[in-house]
Amino acid sequence: MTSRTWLYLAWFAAWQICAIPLYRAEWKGSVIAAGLYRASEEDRRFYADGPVYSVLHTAQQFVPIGGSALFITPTIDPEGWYLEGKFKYYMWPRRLLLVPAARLRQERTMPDTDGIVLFDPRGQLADVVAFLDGLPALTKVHELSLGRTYQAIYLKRH
Amino acid sequence: MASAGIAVALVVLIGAGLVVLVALTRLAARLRRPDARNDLEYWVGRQSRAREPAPLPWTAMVVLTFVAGTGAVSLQMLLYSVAGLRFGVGTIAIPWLGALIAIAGLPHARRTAVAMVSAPASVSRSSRQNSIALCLTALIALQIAYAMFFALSFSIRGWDSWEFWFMKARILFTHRALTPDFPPGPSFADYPLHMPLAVSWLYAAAGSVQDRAAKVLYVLQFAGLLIAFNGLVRSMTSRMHALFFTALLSSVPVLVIQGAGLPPGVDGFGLYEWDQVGYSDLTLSLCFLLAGGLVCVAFETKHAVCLYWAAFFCGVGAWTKNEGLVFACLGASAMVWAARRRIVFGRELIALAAIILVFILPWSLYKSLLHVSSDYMRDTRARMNVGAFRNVPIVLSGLGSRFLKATGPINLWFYLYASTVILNRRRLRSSPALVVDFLVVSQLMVYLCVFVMSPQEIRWSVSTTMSRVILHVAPLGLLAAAVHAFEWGTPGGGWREDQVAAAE
Repeated sequence: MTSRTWLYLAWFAAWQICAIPLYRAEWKGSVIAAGLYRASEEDRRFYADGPVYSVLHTAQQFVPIGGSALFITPTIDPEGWYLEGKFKYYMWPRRLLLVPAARLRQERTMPDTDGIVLFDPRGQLADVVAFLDGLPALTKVHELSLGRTYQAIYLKRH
Repeated sequence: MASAGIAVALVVLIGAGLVVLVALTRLAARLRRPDARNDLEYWVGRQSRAREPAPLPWTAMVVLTFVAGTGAVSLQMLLYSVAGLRFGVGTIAIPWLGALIAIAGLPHARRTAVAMVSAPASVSRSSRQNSIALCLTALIALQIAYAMFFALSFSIRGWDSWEFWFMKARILFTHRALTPDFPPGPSFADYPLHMPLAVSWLYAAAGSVQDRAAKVLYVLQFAGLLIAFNGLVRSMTSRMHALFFTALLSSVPVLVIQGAGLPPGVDGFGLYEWDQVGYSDLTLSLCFLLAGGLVCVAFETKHAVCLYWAAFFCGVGAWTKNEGLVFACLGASAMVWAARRRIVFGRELIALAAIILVFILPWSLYKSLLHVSSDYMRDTRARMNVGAFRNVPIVLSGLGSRFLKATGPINLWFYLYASTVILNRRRLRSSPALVVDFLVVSQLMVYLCVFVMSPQEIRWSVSTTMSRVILHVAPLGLLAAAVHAFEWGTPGGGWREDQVAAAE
């Protein structure tokens, strides 16, 4: 073999060694995809969206198309944005307004919307839940605790 | 039913792309007719008798038609919206079908279309070469298979996909038009609509919002990028050399993240760098590869038609993301360079500029009419002060960490690129890859300047976007590396596959 061939071989070996984390992740991904091979669309969505899926799915049923909802998260940035993007996408054409829990605690007032979606990934919003539970204008139509994740949907009483 | 609709939509894209490329080739032939030395009629008009191979393998040509198709159909949808028409399957597909029938009926156009998908003559190889080629092909095929399997297992998971790319596609599909109230809706209203319109075309053909199935567009772009890369490198070097570099490209993590996605929790990558299927960076990277690669092929083979196709992909790039505007300007400079090297006539530069502008002007005018501007363009003068230079070390360290970290999102790309340039330094000035070096380095320099003046929080901006902007030029850079490595290792340099075969 020529020196050029050896050089190519060395490059290829080095490249493949550095790609090991990628291949490992691909293997993990393939196992997950194989597990979803015969799964329903709902299971696939649950895998992609995690616990957000169940509250989204329910909110889509309760908030009317063309209506609006308030979305309450513990933080704005970056996790709040991340969740807001996902909620906005799946809730469209319903309008979604993001309100961080801190602002709600401070102002104790809310914009007028058809419903309120609360998603709390780390169990930090017990006081906000108590506040919303105490509002006579609202009815809680959905509530779910999955580990530390808490989610709820409130609708305006008519 | 939805899958059948999406299959039809993809066939229409390829048909539309074929029409566009045939039209560009005929335009080139018409403009170049007085040039006896470099007459395109030779291969587009009398292909069957002359037996002159097309500039690229047929596999790469299929990718070119596919990307040209997404660009042309999305532009058609924009123009329909401006004209007040709602887009549907029939209204979009029928004009292309008519054009294909016209091509079939016109002898010159038909010969051009056939010539485009005629593969170059195969070259005999030893059995050892065959087994190595088989291993490399298997590695590339495995990566494509993974992309197909994983990406199509569930719907979109990347932030930018929800926030605007797929969100815009969803809104466009619902209205079946670009309504005047559209830009203020989702974020990043100034971003061009190539991919949202292409995705909404798939939705229109499927009859509903099928975001999981629409991801096939990105998987095909991933596969197309590898195939086109292989074809471009092969047309300038040899089959084995092209396969070797394509195998390396197939395992660049950021490419896999954008074309297939990975499960969360991969060590060593930045924030959200695990599944970005549905972003437009892969599309932009593919446009840059096609445009830059075709310019390089034109420099190597003197096939002027490649510059016409390159101009088209420069335009599609500018219609994909705003970063493409910079590349379109750089591509135009490369075409002036080509005119200086007598690959095209000076008068053809006007035609090449017009091809690029076909994609840039409609969206620019639409944005200016609706007063939509970019965050990056707002208060530029206020941000160009001494304070902005405080960002320089942050930006450079962000770039350095991506370039120098071996197990990071671009693997050993930077080391390979830099080492091949150094190895080929003696032939650098005469190398056709010099034009690609110019495009890659200039584009990266512009990105660095934009980062320094970024209105966003700089650390956040660098951590979330640096890998993606490097992806824009990574395949093109690897193409230059492949050509440099080939020239360095070949006595005399610059031998293409057909020349190697003749020598053997």
